[in-house]
Amino acid sequence: MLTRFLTLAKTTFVAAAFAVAAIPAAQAEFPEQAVKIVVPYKAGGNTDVIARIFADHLQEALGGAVVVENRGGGGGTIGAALVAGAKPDGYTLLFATAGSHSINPNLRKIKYDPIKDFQPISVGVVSSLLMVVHPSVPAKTLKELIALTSSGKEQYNFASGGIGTLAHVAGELYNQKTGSKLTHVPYKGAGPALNDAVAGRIQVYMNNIPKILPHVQSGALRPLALGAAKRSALLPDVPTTAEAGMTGMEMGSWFGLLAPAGTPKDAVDKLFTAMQSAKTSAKVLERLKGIGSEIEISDSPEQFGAYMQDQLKWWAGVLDNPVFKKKK
Amino acid sequence: MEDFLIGLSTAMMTQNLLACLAGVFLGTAIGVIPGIGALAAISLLLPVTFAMDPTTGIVMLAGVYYGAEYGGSTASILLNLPGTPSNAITCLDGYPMAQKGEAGVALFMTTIASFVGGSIGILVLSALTPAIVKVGMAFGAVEYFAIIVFCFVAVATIGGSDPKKNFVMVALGALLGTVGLDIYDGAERYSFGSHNLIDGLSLVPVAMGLFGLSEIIMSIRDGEQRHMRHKISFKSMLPSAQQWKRSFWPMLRGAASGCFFGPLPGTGPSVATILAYANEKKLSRRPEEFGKGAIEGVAAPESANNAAVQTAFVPTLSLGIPGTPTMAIMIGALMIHGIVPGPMLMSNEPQLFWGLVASFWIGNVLLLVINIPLIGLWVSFLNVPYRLLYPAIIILICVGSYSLKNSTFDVLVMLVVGVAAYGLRRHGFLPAPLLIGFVLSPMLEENFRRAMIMGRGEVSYLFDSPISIVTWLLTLGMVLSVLYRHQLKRLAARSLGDTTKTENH
Repeated sequence: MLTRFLTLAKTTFVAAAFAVAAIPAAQAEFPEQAVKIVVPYKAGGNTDVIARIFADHLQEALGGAVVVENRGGGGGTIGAALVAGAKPDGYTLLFATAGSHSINPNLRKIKYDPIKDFQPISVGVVSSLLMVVHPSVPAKTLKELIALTSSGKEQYNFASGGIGTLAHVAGELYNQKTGSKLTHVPYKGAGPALNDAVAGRIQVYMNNIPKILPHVQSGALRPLALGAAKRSALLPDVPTTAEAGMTGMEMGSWFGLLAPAGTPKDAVDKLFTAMQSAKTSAKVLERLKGIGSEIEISDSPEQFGAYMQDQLKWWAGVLDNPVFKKKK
Repeated sequence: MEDFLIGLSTAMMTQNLLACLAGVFLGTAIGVIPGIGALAAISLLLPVTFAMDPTTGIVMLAGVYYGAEYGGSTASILLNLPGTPSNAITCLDGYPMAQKGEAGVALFMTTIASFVGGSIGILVLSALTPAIVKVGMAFGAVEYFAIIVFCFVAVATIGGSDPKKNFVMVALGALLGTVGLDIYDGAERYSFGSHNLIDGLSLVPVAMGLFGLSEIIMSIRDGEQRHMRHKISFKSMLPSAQQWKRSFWPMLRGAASGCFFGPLPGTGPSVATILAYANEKKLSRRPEEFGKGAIEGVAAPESANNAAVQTAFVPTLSLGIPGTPTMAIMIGALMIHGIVPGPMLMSNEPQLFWGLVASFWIGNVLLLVINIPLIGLWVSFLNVPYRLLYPAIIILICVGSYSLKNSTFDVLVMLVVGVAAYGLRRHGFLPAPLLIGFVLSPMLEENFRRAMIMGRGEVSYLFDSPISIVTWLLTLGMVLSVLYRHQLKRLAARSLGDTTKTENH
């Protein structure tokens, strides 16, 4: 009975997938079959949710089935390596992140070249760094925090979801730029790090906006500054780091769509146009806003490629620091 | 109360009732099949929920999650194969019961225990969520470290009769637990340059190999002689009055353990079951029966894991912090609809939060109704000849290990662990202590080192909070009660003429 049920469920699934794929099938034009987007992280995480919002849109825009497959592990490098070696036909894509293509290539040996092995399509979301403190910290502005931490009187902690993550790098940069000695406390992932920040065991926390946003809105954490060139529509009252008196703290995580190098131009163009149309989709914008993200689409695939190279270089410069290379 | 009524009316809407039924039914099925856990099922179902109303979607996914926990004990009992990792402890006494021909009784009792644990968990969830959130926040590295040390001491009695061998297995488990990235300095431990090992070994393939595969190899060696016909009449699966009596308190204490550990994102259901089991063994007047088919050893952990999965929704929904990977997917399922779990969820989305809680009540009753009639069917599976049953199971646990991360490497891990565990078991080394070392020691290390960083290296920081001090005192009390057990017994016998229970967590 059980097997019968499972078989039935499977048949229904397959039938549904075919039905979706079959509706607008034009002859011999991309896409002729289902497009697979590999998310190199676990299902349900921030990257996964962003990827699925775009996958859902691409399905409508391309008029063919788009499925998401999670291949987590190795900080995004396992899934990325998989796509780097996939057949470059436009049917296997990667939802890449700063982690898989800017940070980890600078931290450890990986099995792919983050630039040469991929054909860029477009970035989807760039999520800027938000600096927050627990309300027990007396600082109301970034300047006050700097004054407090650089005096050396307060023994504050900052948290991260692991070595070499955005949160870690931001904290160490803050220490260097301000002469402060915040102590780094690493966690297994950003979730538990945020938990301790909300509980007040971590006084200073800097990470990309999405997961922090609800706690800022509830008043559990106090936002001080946004590490971006301009303010975010999500938090219009929060000044940028430059406005708050600190330069060189503009950073964030990017999430974007890549294909294996050598993917036909026709497919790349179609995918790019589909990504571009997300900018005007109310559904996409609303969903992204719900998870604390804003859409950002590259001007062209080439521009995304240049952006990726810049990011890789920027992170290489920042990570070339003994703090991040305690490997042995 | 008003909120709960809103929730109940939401949960009673036809679409949500159907979603709940579909969820718990699928969950039971997924749980019964060894290896394929809720995580894989929920990952597969995730895209289906996009088209649904968020409440309906989450009601269904949640149903799969706690339904799997219900069904997960079935394979533990019948085949020594944990359906989900938190059902592993149920193997210890459930499987011996099945070998004695009491499979039906064990399954009946776990269904009842699951229902009791689940219901108590839901009660706690509905009544105390705001309070639990505060308690959860009070747990930092220091408190977790103290609790995990307490667990280590408490579980010292699980395993075979030879303490030296148990110790070796715990150490081996701890060693396996260290594989992967050291989160504190980014060093790769025992990864041998393989990307697959950077994240460490996953619990599911390890548990599957340890208990399931090794069991199958053992029985191949023994031939078919252990095969017996199992009675499947309804009467044969009803527990006796004596068994009911013996299970009553263990169920309640198990539920307490589940309610305590469930909402702590740092521990979760596995630790709850381990402690519930150890606790019963300690409190029992017949500790020698544990591991040989003691019904308490089945009732307590099953009640614990079901209470834990219900209460685990507290940090997930009210803080947006998932305690388990499955919970992380559920957060994703909500986020895709633009609903971000967090402190505002209960006030912003009362119909979703309370609708979900109310659906738990309905789901638990549905599970009871679905599961009791199915027991006979499950037991009859045991009458399938092993030469047909075992190859099917091996395929299933391979699929289960693979589906977790779509990784063939995990299948390999399962196979290697299984063969190694067979070798160890042949020499009297039991798998349970290894699993305990594997689960607890990474938590121990992580929290100890974090506490040391936060305390700037001062050991006194470990005793800095009331929770940790109380926990340390309990640990000390437990050590002393073991060391001076005989004196205590004599003392008690002299004054009361009866042995009394000295420790309770």
